[in-house]
Amino acid sequence: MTPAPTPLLELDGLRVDLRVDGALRRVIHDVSLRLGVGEAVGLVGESGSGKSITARTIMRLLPRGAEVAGDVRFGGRSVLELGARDLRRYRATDVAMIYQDPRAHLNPVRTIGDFLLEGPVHAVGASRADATEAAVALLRSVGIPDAPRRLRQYPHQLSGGLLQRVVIAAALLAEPQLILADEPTTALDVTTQEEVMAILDDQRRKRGVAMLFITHDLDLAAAVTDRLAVMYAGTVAEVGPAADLHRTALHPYTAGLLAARPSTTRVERLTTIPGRPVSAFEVGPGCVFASRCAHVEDRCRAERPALRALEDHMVACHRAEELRGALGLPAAAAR
Amino acid sequence: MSAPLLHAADVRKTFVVRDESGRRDELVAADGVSFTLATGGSLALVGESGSGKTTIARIVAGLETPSGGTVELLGEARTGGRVSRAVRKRRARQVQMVFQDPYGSLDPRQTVAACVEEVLREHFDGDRCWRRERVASLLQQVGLEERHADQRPRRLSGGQRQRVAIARALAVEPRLLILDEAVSALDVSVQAQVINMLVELRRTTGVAFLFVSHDLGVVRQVTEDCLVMHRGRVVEAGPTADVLDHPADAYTQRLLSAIPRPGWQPRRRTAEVSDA
Repeated sequence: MTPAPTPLLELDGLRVDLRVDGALRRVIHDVSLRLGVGEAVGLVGESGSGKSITARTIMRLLPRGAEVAGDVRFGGRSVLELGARDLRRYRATDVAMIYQDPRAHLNPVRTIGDFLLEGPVHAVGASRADATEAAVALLRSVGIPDAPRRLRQYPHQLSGGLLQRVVIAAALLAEPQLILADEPTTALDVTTQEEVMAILDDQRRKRGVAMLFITHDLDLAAAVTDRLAVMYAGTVAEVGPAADLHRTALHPYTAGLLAARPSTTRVERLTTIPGRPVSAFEVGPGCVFASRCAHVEDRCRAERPALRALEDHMVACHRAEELRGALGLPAAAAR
Repeated sequence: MSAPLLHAADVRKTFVVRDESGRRDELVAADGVSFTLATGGSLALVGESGSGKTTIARIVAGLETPSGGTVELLGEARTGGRVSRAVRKRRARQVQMVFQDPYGSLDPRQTVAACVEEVLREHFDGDRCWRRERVASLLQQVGLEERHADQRPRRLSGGQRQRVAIARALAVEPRLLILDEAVSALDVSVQAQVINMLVELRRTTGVAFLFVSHDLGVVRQVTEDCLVMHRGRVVEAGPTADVLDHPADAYTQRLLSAIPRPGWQPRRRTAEVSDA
């Protein structure tokens, strides 16, 4: 085996508390994750799982009063300890973020050109002419032909799909090493989603940019990433290869998520996970999934399982070995 | 065969809009839409944003007036415009609608029980005791527990709120329930519970569904027939199983092929633009 190269991004025992009405509330219990250079990892979970907070912690964009334990390292340096100047550089050039709703993140009274050129001109100090040329080239590579005209337009003049392509172009313009994409296509129609995902995937690969792709859609994440990390209640439940996690899931929650997806080819009573997704602060001392798990034992309620290696997965379940093959996963890939 | 519950013929709806230079323009939201829904049946209106599916649902619900064509419910034409309170009330007993956002469709100050009871008081003569029993059985029907009755929406999850909205709609024992993206905002593990509940509900009560959705997986589970809409027009119609297994129209095929599933890869349709 060749020694593993230094990872680009390391989350190490991350724990986050946010201040809610003056009191601290746990939103992330324990998240450890590594991303290699050029690697794509999907962070999959339902609402309240902590996936977006994880992304915000990576960008150091948590609200005032938040307390973070553990570490976030980028290229070996602790992001949590960066000074103001280094932090600005990190956000401007190392990592780019793509949000769910582009309309909420673009200033409606400034043109697409203003938005695209702000980073290169102000943060990096490129000349406006050079930056414009680069922006036009990038807009073309994300499939926007009349780029010069688009640069003069305002966000409301572009459709959601077109606007998200502009955001992707803006993210690539800074030539980052990592893209954090937080539900980038959730607000889009499914055909537009396919187009935008194909462009993001294609451009990211061509440029060797790593990506942390945050979504609730396990199948979508699997299509554009190398590994998937499934989150529940502020904890990573399982990490496994994206290509076959739907067949090889080892955690009861992953298996439950997979079985709950409505099929377009079969009619069946859907297998459900009882109850509702719980938030990190609601869980007891045991496994975060214990209250909804069909395979729960006394031990699961008392002792929180650590994330550990099993085959080519990482799984946080006491019973992972005995439950293998008993989680009711579909035998074939058919949905 | 019994008379259809709902029959739409050549329905058209246009909105007046202004273009960029301020000129009046006509936006055709739906055009030439015809369909029939049998008593106790389930019909999906499938499409992406701008397809006109919600416009059609709102016309059936009486929230919009068609610009052309007719909609008949129980053999009676739904005329648009203002109608008397008595007519509105009678129509409310026939058709109820459940909306997408369970956070915006419930009164935050009303408890779950009060929300359902208000509808009963408006439409039925029964006394308090009868209403209380009826509320309990409606909540049970949608899978809510007794303890939820005294709670306000703030304390409920999205899935529970949507169950309350469905219980409220069912209170008048409607013949037709219009569900407009009613499970779209729910997490997948909760969505599965609500889908199962809806399927069970139709089987036990015989209420018909007009099910508006962009999600073909959900449509497959809940409906028997479907209408695929694109830019205001019906591009394909038939039994849901046939349409999804053997889509004939190019747009339906495109819609199906865009759904992520194991082994799926997103395909790019617009080319990268090379320097002109």
